[in-house]
Amino acid sequence: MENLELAVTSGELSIGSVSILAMSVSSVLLVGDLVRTHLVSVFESPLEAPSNGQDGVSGDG
Amino acid sequence: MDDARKSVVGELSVLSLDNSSAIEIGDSERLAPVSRVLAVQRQEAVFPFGEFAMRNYAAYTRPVSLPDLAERLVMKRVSPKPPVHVGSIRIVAASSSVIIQVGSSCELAAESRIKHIRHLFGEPPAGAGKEK
Repeated sequence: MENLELAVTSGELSIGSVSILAMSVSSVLLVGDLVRTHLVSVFESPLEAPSNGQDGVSGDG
Repeated sequence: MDDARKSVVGELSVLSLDNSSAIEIGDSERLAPVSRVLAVQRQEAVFPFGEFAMRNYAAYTRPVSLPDLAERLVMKRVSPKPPVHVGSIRIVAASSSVIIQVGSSCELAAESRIKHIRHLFGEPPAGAGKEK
């Protein structure tokens, strides 16, 4: 297994003002340090996942 | 995390936060919100109990390719715990599996799986039933 070392020189972190109208699914707002992140979003709607005939206009069940 | 930061927030305003979301002020090791949503819209609002089971839909079980997390990751900071200062945060709306954090974290892993179903009377719209 490979070792991955991350060295960060972190100084003082200062933010005056943050204004967000909307955050969608699996999103992150972080003020600080982060080693890693992974975000997964699976979204199926009738237009994106067409019908198999079982759900009228939608679905894979 | 080797050492912690001090987090200072003047004001935090969140009007709406959806399911499996997290607001964290301060450091964390790992945050991993997961949400599963099955949204059914039906022209006639009759929903027999137990009609829908999440296990019947691939959206909740379909494997997702993730980066190789097997390697050992070490984070070292060179500083004497500098603080994080935030004057104000204003968020009107945050959806599912959202992380809002003031502070440091080792790993964030958010997952959201949403399945929408619409049942309408009559003919399906153009494009329905055809694979892309």
